Amino acid sequence: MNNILIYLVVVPLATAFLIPFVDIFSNKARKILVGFSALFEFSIGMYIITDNYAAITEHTFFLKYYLGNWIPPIGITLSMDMLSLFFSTLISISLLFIITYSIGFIGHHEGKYYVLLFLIWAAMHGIILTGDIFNLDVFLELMLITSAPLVAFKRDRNGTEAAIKYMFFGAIGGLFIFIGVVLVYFNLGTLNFADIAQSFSLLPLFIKKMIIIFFLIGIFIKLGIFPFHFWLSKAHSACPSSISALLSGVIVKVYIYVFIRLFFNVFGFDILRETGLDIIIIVIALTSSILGHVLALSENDIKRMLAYSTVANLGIIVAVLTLNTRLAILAGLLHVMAHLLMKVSLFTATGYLLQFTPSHKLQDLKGVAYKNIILFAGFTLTAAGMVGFPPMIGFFSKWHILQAFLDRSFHWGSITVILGSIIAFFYYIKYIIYGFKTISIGPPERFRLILSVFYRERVVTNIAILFAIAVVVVGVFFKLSYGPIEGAANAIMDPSIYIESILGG
Amino acid sequence: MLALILGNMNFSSFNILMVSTGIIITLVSIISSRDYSYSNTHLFYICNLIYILGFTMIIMTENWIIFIIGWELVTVSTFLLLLWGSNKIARVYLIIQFIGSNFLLYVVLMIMNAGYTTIGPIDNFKLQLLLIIGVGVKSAIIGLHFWLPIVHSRAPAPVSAILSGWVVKLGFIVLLKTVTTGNILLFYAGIAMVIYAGIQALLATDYKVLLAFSTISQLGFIAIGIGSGNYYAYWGSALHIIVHGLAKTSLFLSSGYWVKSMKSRSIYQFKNGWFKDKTNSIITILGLTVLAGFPILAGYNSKHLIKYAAGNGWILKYVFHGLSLITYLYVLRFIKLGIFNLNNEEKRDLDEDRKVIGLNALSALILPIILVVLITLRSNIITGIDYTDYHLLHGFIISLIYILISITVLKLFNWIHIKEKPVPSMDLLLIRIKNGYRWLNGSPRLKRLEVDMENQIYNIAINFAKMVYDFLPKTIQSQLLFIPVVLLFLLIFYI
Repeated sequence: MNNILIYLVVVPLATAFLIPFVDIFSNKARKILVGFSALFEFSIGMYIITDNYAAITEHTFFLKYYLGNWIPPIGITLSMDMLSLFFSTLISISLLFIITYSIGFIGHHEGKYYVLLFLIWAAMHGIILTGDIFNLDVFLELMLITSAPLVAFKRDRNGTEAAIKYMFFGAIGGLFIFIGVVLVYFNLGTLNFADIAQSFSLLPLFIKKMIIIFFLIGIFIKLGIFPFHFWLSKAHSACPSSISALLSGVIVKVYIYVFIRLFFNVFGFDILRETGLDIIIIVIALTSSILGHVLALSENDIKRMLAYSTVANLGIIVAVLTLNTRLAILAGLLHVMAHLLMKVSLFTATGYLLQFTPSHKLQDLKGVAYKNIILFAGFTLTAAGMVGFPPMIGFFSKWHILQAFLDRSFHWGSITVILGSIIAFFYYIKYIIYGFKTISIGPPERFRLILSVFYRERVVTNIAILFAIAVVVVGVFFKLSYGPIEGAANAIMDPSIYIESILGG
Repeated sequence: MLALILGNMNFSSFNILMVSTGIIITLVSIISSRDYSYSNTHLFYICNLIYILGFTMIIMTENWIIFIIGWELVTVSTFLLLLWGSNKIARVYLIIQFIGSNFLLYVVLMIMNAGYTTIGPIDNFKLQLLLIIGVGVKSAIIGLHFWLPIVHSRAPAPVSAILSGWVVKLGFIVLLKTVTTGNILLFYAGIAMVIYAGIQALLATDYKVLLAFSTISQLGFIAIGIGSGNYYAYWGSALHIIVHGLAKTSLFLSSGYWVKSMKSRSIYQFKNGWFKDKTNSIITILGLTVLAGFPILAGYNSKHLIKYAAGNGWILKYVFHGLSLITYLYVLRFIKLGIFNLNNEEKRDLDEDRKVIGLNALSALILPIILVVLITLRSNIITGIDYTDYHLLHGFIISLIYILISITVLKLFNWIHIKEKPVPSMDLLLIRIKNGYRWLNGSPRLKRLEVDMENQIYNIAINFAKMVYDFLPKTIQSQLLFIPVVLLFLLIFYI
């Protein structure tokens, strides 16, 4: 029993409900509350790590909390194993910095903004900690509902359209997951992950396949894997850049976590392998990856380009995880971390640069590098990391992914990765060349004075540069991240640890 | 950190020798770069330092991952160095090298997967071949060499000295470590490289293009030595890597001063070179002598080892004589047309503005030549093989015969005084390909492109991507339709 787990969900939830009340009294108090809560939530995560440091290094770390003191098959269990810890830490760190970035970046309707942001944080931690399949569905819906207004945060035609599309696809994906939950409950009479995992193999094959199909389609819609990727580029590009970073960097990783937890621990990977579904998943994911890269090349809009690059990278992550060897899972988790860092870095930097351009179009980005040369150098370094130049973290994840594909003699996968990074090289260098082009002031109607609306410019640039530095530093010292990733990989490879830890007392 | 270095690096005398040669070449180029008024010189030096770090990693390491990191560092730092010249060439270089190094990454992982976890001899012929193609883009193996004359001839002189003197050798240093028992395809590729690039150098009208093609030609000798698998030829290649690296650095650096003093790159404009700049002339002739393999200087030793050990059978023996002859042909042609194209009437006018190159230039140009002379004296120590008698008298006579034949042939063809050709570029390459197609069609020939090569490739790629984008549904109704379709597909085929 560990009370600390409940705080991970309750603190952001409580902050979200407190913000409107505090907002009535003063703006300043709200800002203090936002900063304090973000730090507090972050420090809870850090406390969990320091408190259980020995267990984490030995990979035996496991925390659980029974809500209302109901013993597992009945009540909701919150639990944290190495896999949850890995994702929780990534989310806490990136959200702390995204919120700091938002303080400088978002100049209007800040009250609503932070309410939604903290609700997303609560939902994310709920998804990661919960041990109950219906509870998971509830948190997934909460995350969808709270992120949709943020997609439409700019209040223009584009944003509203994107948000409606996002809601449509998200709700249908949620519906598929809900049908899956209903099927599970009708056939097994339980909602607890560990309990389902124990008795899932006893079900008839037809029912098992049915449940897996519904969950798979639901998660693929939420992840934006081809052919369900249509909402992603729009939703991830229409919102303010801080939200783009959140959606493209962090929230999709939570769906990756759901994918891992359900298909590796709860349903067990054997059923996928026996029925041959894993090959189908890999083929779909690789198609999605190459298509994402090609679509990114076709884009003339920097944020849509970055969003399509997310489609491509998610395809690679899903494909490599589905290989289900130890090496592949290590590679997949490493790329989860790498893509999170790099995408957040790219979007935060883009958010700053786009304040000085009339539109997101490539032609308008001419000479934008000279606005802040250090920040643009960071952007260039991160883009180099995305295509796999050492010593950025992207190179090491690419290396491990290639190794994992070749280890299973899956040459198509590795060729896709190589081809993808060559295409990526072309679409990133396009923007970088334009960024360094010197501007010649054209006819007066083309020249428009742009007022930047930074609340605190220094904060914005510093966070963007910080992420770019993180991409390099984590890359140089990537061996240090082996420990936690190996622990997480252990948790994925051996579902019995999870089952026994929850049910065994 | 120390454990990392000691655990993955091999401080054998061979590695240290190669690294120190590379460092000397870089330092010489830096000294020479001081004669050109570059902006941001501190950044130039930083890029050089990164480059030194990169090739040190490539040469020293036994670990494939460090090798790849070093390889990419060299790619990036040489790209940055090229930015001091023309942006366009730098971009072309980066794109080609990036594609090449991605292929190399793939090959390296396949090699690792086959069980060769450290850099060492590889027995598998297919893997050897893949590795040769993988390093081929950087090291200009024939077929993948098309970028080298373009980039090396247009780069600023100190950078082209680095590129031509050392960067192209890195691939061969790796091949020296891995292909220890020979590879017949590399052997024939080497012969083809010597002949093809030698003829191109013979027909070149631009001095830097001549030097760039001669680099490919000399790399052919190294490839022959490695590919033959013969013990002596193998060490001959190792010696030729060092000797040619030093000589080519000196030549490329001197080409910068030639272009400065002649205000032209065409060898036909190099009139009265001997009178204008005697020091530079002497150094250039010495460098070219090393390339040709005239006795006493170390170029003779390495070529001797390769020539007499690599081939067995009388056909190959004559082929190798022919290969040596090609080098003599283009070297002598340049010496005649470039340096000794004397005209006594103009000499009197020149007496006033005679150029004397500065101390920087002198030290940069003379240092590699001095090193070559030192290597000549102790080449058996460097190669580490028990072979001291290079048959100097025999070599001297053979070389004189080469020179006689070359001069006769060149005289016969009027020193191959052909029409001046433009400097090679990607656009010209594309025009040539298009004209080949038009020749088949019977349509008139293209003179120039409306859109340059780089943009054409971009346009093709982006138009293809847009085609894919247009192919996908645009309305939300049809997009949502994919969900039931996939569901039905899975229900029918999976259940």
